[in-house]
Amino acid sequence: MAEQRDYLRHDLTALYAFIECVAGGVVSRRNSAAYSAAAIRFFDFVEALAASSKNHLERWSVDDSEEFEDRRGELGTIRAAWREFHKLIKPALDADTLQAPSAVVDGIVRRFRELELPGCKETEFALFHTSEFNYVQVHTADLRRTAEKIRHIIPDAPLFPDNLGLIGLPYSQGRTAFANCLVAHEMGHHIYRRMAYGAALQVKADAVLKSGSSTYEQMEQGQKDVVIKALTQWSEEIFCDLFGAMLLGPCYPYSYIEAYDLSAILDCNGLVSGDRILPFIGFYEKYPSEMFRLQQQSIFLRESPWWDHISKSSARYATLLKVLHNVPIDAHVKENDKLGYLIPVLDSIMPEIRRVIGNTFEGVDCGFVLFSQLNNTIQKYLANGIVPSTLNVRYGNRPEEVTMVSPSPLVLLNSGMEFYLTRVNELMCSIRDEDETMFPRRLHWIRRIEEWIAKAIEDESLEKEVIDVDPGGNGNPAPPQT
Amino acid sequence: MMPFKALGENCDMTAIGERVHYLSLALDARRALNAIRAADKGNGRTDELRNSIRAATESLEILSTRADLYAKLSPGHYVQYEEIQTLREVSSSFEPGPPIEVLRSLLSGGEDMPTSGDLGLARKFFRALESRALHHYNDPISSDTFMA
Repeated sequence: MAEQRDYLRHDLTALYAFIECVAGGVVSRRNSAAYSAAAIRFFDFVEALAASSKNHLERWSVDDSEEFEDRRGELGTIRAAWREFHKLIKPALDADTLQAPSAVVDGIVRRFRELELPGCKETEFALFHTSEFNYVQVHTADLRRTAEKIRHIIPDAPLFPDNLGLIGLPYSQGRTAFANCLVAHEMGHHIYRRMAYGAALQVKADAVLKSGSSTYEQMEQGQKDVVIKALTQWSEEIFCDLFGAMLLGPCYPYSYIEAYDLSAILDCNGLVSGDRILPFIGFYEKYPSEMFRLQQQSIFLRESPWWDHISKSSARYATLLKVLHNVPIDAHVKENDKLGYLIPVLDSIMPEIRRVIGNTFEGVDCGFVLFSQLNNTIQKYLANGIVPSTLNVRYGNRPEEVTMVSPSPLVLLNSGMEFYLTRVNELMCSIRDEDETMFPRRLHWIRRIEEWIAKAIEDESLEKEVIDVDPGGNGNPAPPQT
Repeated sequence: MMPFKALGENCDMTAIGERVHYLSLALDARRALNAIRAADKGNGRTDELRNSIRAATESLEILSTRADLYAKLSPGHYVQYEEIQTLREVSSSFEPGPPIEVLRSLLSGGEDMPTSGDLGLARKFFRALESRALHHYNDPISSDTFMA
């Protein structure tokens, strides 16, 4: 065994070095930049996992060739687990607080924490940057289960932090506000996986397929698995879209439309263009088509208090939501040769998805009442170049019957988005020598609108911070209140 | 709902698996291998052996009886596509056939020590399962943990 043990020592060292390389960056980089509390929890986990993994390797040994055969595979499995974390570490290190759009995302996180589901009030999201133009979510529920399973091999390995989500933002979108409303979709993935909604939707998909055709019953189990997997993945995406629309109201579908240029679907008369739907109507193996997804958001919002406001909006994106409602399911089937047969099945699962959304948001205010009370005032502030952090709202006729209100992130994002979509011209025309036809100048003012909204969202968070003041002015702060 | 006249011909979707589920299965198989080795040396806990092989055993039973995987919620067996697919691949090519009887006896066995023959067959099966799961995990076209 001596020679074999030398090989083994080499293999153990190689794995030890791999772990050292992967985790080493955390130790060296985290001290040179500022990170959110959520990112720090993630880095702490990685460091603890690295320490336990290296300790495990230092103690790792086999007595004979039979045990070698038995245990050599363990090193490959540990390496695979580290590869899983490898892809997350550098992006998370790159997304320090100077790079990430913290104020807007923090505001959306505060809205997320209004959910009554277990753990939501304590949930934190660590952000990282992606090179693709995609907002992405790391399935931390799956990572948590993976970390638990690692503990069966490395008993002192740490548990993945509770209530921690990991969300990737396109590196280019750090300065934008409204585009980052799409993180709500990723928060939907976080909830979907944590609540294990997929299992219930699998059962529903199976039941719908059985009731629709005897062909399904006759399929090989392997074929059934593929069909169920596709439907479950599509259902998850739709769930997350509806989650975004429920969490943030219409500014979520408006962000979605802008990110994927879906307003191209409309012709000059504001109707669906037969030619230009083609890039958006094809289903993918893992994703429903963009058009189907947006249509489901439209159908969903039509049942909400927001629809009355959307239906009166002059924004072109609102027009798109209105006309998509009437696209028949057959139109989707017709344009999808390969996967079209599954679209009616997905359509039959939609009531179940909406039911799960209803349960998820049980007891949560949709925010429309406050929005309808404050929207005009916020937009008036924006039109005058004022950050709408604190609004003076009149509730009576006498001079003193005025109260100060700090609008929530939900209200600010929707009012700001509506202003951005409908009133940029008006804002620019009110400024002397400004030319609304010049793109650089339009961009300048759009960025200003986003900055005003982001600032107001940040100010709202400061109002919620508890500060221990010094009541006597003698250098002794008040004791923290319990 | 429209009839699924072409259902059978349209199941050629590829690369729909999520890598993390393959890793999860590999870790399960590794846990079982460690428990089997401990039991073979006479210093393992029987409950750990049972817990480590439970999901694979129950899933194999369902696959072998062609019972309905998705008809109801059950935490007892694998429900992820990647886990079921890999388990099916390994059991279908395993010589001398899926070791369901052996695993069932390990799962239901009392305090009696399992035979070394049974443990050897179980060990061979979980080695194959770990290898296959890692093969899928390493497949460059397997999708990432990220979900857009």
